[in-house]
Amino acid sequence: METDHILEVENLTVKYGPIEAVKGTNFFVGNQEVVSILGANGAGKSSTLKALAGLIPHEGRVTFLSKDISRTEPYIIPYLGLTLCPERRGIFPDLSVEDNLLLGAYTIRKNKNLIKENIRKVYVLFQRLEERKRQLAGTLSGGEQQMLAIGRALMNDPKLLMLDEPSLGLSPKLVDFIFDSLKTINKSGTAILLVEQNAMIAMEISTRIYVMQNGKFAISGNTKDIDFQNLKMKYLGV
Amino acid sequence: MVFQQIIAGIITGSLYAIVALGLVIAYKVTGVMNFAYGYMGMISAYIFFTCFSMVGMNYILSFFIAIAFGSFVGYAVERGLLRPVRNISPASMVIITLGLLLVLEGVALQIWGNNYQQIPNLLNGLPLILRFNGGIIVIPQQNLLILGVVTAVIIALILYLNLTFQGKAMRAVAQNEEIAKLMGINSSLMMSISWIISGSIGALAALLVAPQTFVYPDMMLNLQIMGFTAAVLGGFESIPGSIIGGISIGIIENLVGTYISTNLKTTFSLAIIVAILIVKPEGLLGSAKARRV
Repeated sequence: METDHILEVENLTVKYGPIEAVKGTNFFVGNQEVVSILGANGAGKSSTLKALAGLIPHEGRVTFLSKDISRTEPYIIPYLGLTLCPERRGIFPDLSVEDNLLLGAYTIRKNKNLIKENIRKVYVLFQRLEERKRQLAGTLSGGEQQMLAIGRALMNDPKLLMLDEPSLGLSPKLVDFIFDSLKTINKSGTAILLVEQNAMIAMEISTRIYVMQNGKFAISGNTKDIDFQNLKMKYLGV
Repeated sequence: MVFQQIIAGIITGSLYAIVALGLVIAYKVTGVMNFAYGYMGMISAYIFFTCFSMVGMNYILSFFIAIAFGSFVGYAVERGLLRPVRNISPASMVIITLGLLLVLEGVALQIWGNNYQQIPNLLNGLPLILRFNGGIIVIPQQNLLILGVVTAVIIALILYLNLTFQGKAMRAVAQNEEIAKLMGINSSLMMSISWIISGSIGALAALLVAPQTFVYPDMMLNLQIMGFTAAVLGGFESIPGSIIGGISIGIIENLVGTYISTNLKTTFSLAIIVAILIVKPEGLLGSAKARRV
């Protein structure tokens, strides 16, 4: 394994009963890279991320920072520096915005100063959250909930941030804002593995992409070498 | 005298309230409605009886042994009995806890028999007497103790859940177990802790009520039914709801007992509660949203 790969996935397979959602995929994420997995609904993208986070049973080998995490319990994985910002945000609606952020820092809960510093960083990135920090998270708008989900995922200083459909249900303007924020997050040293249906916006920030179809990668490569029009017609069904 | 009855109602109600709290905290975190709850507490009352009356240990020491035993029973029931069958339907889960109730009752009968065992009040001094123009209120010391202990437990629980990292993590598990895992929270551990808390609260309720009810296998039947009712009245998901639910049932019951009929006090209070739930099915402080289960 090359040492500059932060995440290395070999032969990943996810089955739901007799149905194979992910059929033996191989991919990697390099240090400080932004990598996107694109594809239509049901292609196996979300299952891939859930498997990496340890939430669903899977076969194959997942290596993160030279450590085999294929069999690691899901609640151990964020301690290693791998955090998933889940599909549909998954905020805790009956807790305040600030408590949601605090829970993101659960793995570093002994280090009060670091938590304070990280909350400050999140508020710099998303000022709206600071204005609403005492509000219950369930009362936030969709865009604010997405900001909260991303902010919460950043609270434990992940080395690799995985995001599942961050553009889902947001207005184009908010999508732009969220993706600008992802660029900023990446510049500060966090690698990003992104799963998206919105291929155009994802390609704008990605160094490399994988296009998933029926549980396999149909094509992959450097973003700049990929013809977007061709990709759209052939693989994304748009 | 109406004030005397309201005070008595608050004291009975505070016991209903902590039973409701114990039920609700286990339900919120693990999704199990524990129909064996009162009977788990009953076992702790027998442990107290054994330590204090049979072995002759000191009152306070026996008290803490019984509470510790209650928390162990809570842990063991969740970890050993319920967790292996977590994914069965809620209805089957209810049957399992009802089965546990029968087992605990049988175990108590086998070990301690069905005699009514007496245990003394911790405080036996002169009652507190409040006089004011046109009235007098008498509160026995044991009842003051009940009120004090229950208030302390409620405050401690609210502080724990709202101010500590672990308490917040527990609420996170209650809201969404999968997402809580993504934060690095060990959901299984939180489930165990919630049952340990619930088990010790159940034991505490049994110990507080035992001097009045005596210790026997069905001693907690009434408290369990009323605790459930209080929890339902409060919405079954809400901690303030359980407290308000418990206290209101206690007051209603005492007023009905005094002014309408002692024999009908349970029937009548339950009828009032059914009426409230017809008007507000989600309970006093429950949410109308989709609930766990």
